[in-house]
Amino acid sequence: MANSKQKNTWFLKVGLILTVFMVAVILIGQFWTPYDPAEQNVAAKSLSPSLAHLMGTDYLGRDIFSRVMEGAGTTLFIAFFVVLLGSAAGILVGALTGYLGGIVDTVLMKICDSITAFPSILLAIIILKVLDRPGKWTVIWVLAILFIPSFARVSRTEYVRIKKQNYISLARLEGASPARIMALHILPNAFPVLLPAITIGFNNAVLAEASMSFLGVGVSATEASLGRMLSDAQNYLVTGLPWYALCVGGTIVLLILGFSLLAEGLQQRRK
Amino acid sequence: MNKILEVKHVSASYTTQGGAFSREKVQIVLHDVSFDLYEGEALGLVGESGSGKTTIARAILGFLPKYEGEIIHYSKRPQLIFQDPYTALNPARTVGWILEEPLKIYGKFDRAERRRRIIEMLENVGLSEEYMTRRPSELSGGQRQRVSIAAALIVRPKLVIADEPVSALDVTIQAQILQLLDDMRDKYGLSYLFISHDMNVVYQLCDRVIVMKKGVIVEDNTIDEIFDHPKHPYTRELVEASR
Amino acid sequence: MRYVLKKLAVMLATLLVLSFLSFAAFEMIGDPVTTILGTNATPEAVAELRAELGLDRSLFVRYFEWLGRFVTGDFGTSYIYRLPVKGMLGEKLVNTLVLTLMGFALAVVISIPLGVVSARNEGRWLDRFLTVFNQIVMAIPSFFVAILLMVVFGLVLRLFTPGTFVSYKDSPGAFLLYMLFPAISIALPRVAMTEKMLRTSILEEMQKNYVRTAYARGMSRRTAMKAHALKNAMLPVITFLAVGAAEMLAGSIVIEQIFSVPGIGRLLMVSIGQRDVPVVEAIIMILAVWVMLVHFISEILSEAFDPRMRS
Repeated sequence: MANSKQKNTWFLKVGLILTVFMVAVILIGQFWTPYDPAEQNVAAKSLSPSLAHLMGTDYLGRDIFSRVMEGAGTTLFIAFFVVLLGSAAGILVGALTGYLGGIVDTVLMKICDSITAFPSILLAIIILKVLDRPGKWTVIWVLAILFIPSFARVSRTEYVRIKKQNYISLARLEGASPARIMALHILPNAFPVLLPAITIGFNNAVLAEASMSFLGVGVSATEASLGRMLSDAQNYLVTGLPWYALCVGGTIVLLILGFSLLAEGLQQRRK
Repeated sequence: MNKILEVKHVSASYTTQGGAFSREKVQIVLHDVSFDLYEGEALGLVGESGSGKTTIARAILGFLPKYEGEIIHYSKRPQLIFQDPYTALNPARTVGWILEEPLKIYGKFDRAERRRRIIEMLENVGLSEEYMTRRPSELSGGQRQRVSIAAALIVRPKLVIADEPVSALDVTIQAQILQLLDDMRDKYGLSYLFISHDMNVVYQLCDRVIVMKKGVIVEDNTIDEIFDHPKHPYTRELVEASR
Repeated sequence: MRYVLKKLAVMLATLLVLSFLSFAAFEMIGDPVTTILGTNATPEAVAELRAELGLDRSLFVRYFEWLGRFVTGDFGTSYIYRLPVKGMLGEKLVNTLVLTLMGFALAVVISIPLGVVSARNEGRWLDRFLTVFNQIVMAIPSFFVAILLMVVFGLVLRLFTPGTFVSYKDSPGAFLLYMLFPAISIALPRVAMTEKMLRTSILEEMQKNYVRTAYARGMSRRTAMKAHALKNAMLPVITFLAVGAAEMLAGSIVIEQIFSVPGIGRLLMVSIGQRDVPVVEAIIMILAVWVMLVHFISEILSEAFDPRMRS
């Protein structure tokens, strides 16, 4: 068992370091990048990675690293709001259904079940394509709503478990309102379980945004995100510019890996 | 003496769900239970598990969704002390928060007054101000039960229902907690409804005892009468077992 | 039996609601007339085309007419191409299904032995390697797996040429060979997830009392796992694989675009853009039936594996 304990913190540590590093670089990229991401340089077209250009340059001579720093910001921005809105609404739905039970529980969970039966990425692709209004906020709203059921399920289980505890009976006896019990008495106890779920939400949001934008139904053409850059890079794959696609894709992988290791570590620490 | 609680002809039952091979059954848990509780009195409620003693407590506290009969409260905010001090305190919160929460819900006290009352109550139950920042997981069983008592008394209730409050504790700690409950009764003029299966524990705290068996009160008398002249065979059995 | 009938009824009801919702969605966002005629069309021309396509009638009339035909197996006619939807779907549907099923088969065939091996070697270097490797593979989206495969096998090793899709009608062998890479792309992330799931599930099962008793009676760890743990450990994995089969169909819609496989994914995207409602409806119904079917099969399999659930 000592063995697995060692591994536990290892996942958490690596995940934390990777996530903090990625988020830091992306945040810096919103204010400063090595080159102007939009600046074209005909003399430095399609270069392989070097010290001057960490990820090389694209077919127009733009520095890929600078563009990734900027574009990953859009991806992270979307992921942040998707998780914020989706988890807030999901935890609320889970709290209401779990704590109150009854008909509210039955109806809301039935709706959640039917949404989750369908792969959320498929639903997102269809809805975004039907809406036909590419842009950050469209992606955020659609994904946030589709993410609600997964958060609601985790939250509901915790509320059902915790509401049976004696200290909750005592809080009711003290005259605490249901809202107060849900927010102040139960939520802090549900947090150790909600935290890994929220972290895995970031993982899924980055993946979903990248998929949407890769297919061209996500962000608009003027908003560079990792998915859109990868679909752009894919066109230059066969013409011998693999670095572009590899670096953009690698960034997506590192971002997702950081969040997934963090979630795994948090989950293992709980046990 | 003034009544603080009146329980009149309370009956309760629940229906077990019928499965494929069993018909649904009506299980009677309380049958025509009546008793009064007076100001400043410590009333013991004794019986084996399944005798309905916890059900009557739940009915008094309003946790039982359905019962027949009438329960009249002559005081506000009856409080409850649980048997298991490990589950009675919110593990995510500090002792200070746990004690402040009832004051926040009821009171019109400001922050300074709340703090003053918390410290006073902690001292009453034999804990110092430092415990405010501790979490339940950092406390021993006895300390937790002291915090539970403080949390129950901080809103100055008149009636406290204690459900086996010492049965989860060591014998030496039991004596300390019983002494504390007795002291608090004098200090705040409390009435106790003290639920227990242990006659010895009841003897140390209570003035009067109700003996219950299978949802029915079989005997209701003063503690001395119960011990010296038990009338019902079941009471005799319990008294014999405690010697 | 009653259980199965009830399930089927729920599935049919869901299909009805879903089909109506998608019909209504297009009612709100507009019809294909502008797509066909352009924005400069005269009102007369627009009205004429509407009448011709039957779009001048109310939503309900059109919906029930569509429904009436759909249940008899008539998927209708495309607004844009004026071709029977069935014919348009035919080969594309086969391609997508083959891709999804190949991916699914790969995921099952690779993940289950790996999961068992990993659990059997718990704590040893092989298990640790697989655990770390898994965590990394899970972080690679299938569309990036596709790009990596193209770079490695297409550009570096020159084993296949991206974009040279061969129809199964021309050469089944070449078709399957070409489909192998897209199938790996959708399978790989699922392989990692399923392997991890199975490993955890087996190890949890090994901790349970009945397996420990078997140990105590002198049964080896290996036999105990085979005799008891594996069967019970498969239960959650079956449900997970069903979710996987549904997700893989979604994944194949993305992947077929990268590998230029003519499947229903591209047709769906184009048809939504053109507001070609009959085509979209047909594809959505197919996707929904697939999703519900895999869940249904997984429930029946779960019951077969777990006698406690039968009742």
